[in-house]
Amino acid sequence: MSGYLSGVLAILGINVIFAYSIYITAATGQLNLGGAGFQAIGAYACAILSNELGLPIYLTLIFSAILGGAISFLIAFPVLRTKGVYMVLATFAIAEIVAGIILNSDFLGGPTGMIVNNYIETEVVLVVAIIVVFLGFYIMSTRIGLAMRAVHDDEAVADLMGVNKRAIQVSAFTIGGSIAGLSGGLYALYFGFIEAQYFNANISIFVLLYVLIGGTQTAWGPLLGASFFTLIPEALRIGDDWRFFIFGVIIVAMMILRPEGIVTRDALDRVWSKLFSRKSNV
Amino acid sequence: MSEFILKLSNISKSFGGVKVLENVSFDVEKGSRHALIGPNGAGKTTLFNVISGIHDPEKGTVYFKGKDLRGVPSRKRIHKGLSRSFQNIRLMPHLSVLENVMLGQHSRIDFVDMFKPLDFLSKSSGKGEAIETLKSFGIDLHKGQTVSSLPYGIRKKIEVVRALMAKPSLLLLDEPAAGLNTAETKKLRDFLKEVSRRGITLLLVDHDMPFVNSLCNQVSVMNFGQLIYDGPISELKNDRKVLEAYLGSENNLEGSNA
Ligand SMILES: Nc1ncnc2c1ncn2[C@@H]1O[C@H](COP(=O)(O)OP(=O)(O)OP(=O)(O)O)[C@@H](O)[C@H]1O
Ligand SMILES: [Mg+2]
Repeated sequence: MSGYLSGVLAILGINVIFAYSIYITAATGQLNLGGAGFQAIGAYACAILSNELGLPIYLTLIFSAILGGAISFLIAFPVLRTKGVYMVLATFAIAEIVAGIILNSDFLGGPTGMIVNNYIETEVVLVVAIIVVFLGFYIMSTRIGLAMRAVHDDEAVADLMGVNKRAIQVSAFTIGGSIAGLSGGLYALYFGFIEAQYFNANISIFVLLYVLIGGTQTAWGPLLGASFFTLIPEALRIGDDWRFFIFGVIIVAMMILRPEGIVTRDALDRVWSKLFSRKSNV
Repeated sequence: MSEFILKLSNISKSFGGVKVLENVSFDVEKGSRHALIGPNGAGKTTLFNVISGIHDPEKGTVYFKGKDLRGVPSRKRIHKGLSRSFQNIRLMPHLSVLENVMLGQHSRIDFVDMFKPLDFLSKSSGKGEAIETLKSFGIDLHKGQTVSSLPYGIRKKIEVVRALMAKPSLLLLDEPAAGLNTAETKKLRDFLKEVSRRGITLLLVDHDMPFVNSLCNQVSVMNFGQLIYDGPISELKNDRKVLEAYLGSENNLEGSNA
């Protein structure tokens, strides 16, 4: 594998994992605009456990996920009291707080960042990404996934059906936080250097866009959204300035053409019945 | 002596100072097919919302199977055997027909079964039952489709099937026949009679009097938030208050669209 290809694949893997973290929350109808904060938590946890305690890679990654999940769980209760745009702002604020803490902490390297004394190959990222994608599909295929989608569609009716909306939303937010932490751990180990400035609002916005534009109705959405937005700019070989412009154009176009995301249930059904020429439903 | 599954005692509810329910009291006998009728805006749906826990009454008590439901959150009421359908269809727009119906089973699924992938579920884990029930309604052909694309009548039927999936002891149906044609309404009636034979008590709101007359044995009538009649359906048309309430309204008590 060429260095370039391997680099693109690693970023793709990390972005896909990151997208699933936001997707799991979005599938229950909640928008998390603080993805970068949870990713930073995982990245710094991983760096410190590697550097200070010399823990092996798999343990540092597990701790990244656990810490991301634990912090998400703790803040889930106040955050999930907010709704809609307020929830978006609350999660955004949390990411800003995380960045602020890192920037002001000498122990975490402050603005100069931190070198990570351990590294992983692209293959590790890809294996973890496959596991996370599988996990995403699995959760969404169960009755838990059904309950999550029900909460997304109509909280009040889901409640009357006996769905514990709070438990579902807190769990989704927690799992999302832990997957974001995991993606941060992988980032730290792959790039070997982390700094607070990287985990900024742009990252949070992009990952949320991957998910919304990919589509939140099925587990295909984040996979397609993240792949699309990671690979298209690479394929076009465009620089960062143009990347933002093209992103903007594509996003506006998508929102007009496919407001429910690229992959919707109905679109999947159509593809499925074409592929397997299933008897069409009357 | 007859046994009552639901007892409503002096229920009052107002919205922004406007009294929508005023001291409503009546009982629903276990195993009965009980209708709740009344002109538009009488407060029927609001009463359903109080029974299912969406609204807390300002005054009065709902007893279900002899127990006061005060303090029982709406989510837990379905576990106790109370399920309902909605007048303004409230299906999950992004779920398929089958998924909507299977969601109706949520309250009786074990924790472990919550984690089994639906596509590989054996017939015994609720999926087969859901498909069978859709079949008996003649709408299983649509099971893979999302509901938003389906005609009103079919969505209305899915509402009923979903509510049934909880295996309730009391089923509240809010205008299940609205939007159905005569043949469909007859089919629904036969289906609900069968449901009733299986021991499920029905409390249903509907404006279609032939449907109500041919299905129900008990009826409570509301007008402007108050109960004006409660008794056997056979004596309904002799009641002066009821006749007055319906006089000049478009809802014909006899009904002519049978
Ligand atoms: N959440 C609410 N907030 C304010 N007013 C409400 C609310 N729900 C119902 N109402 C009012 O209460 C009154 C009774 O409404 P309700 O829906 O219970 O009547 P209904 O008997 O079901 O009528 P219909 O036959 O038209 O369905 C109406 O005047 C309605 O506007
Ligand atoms: Mg009503």
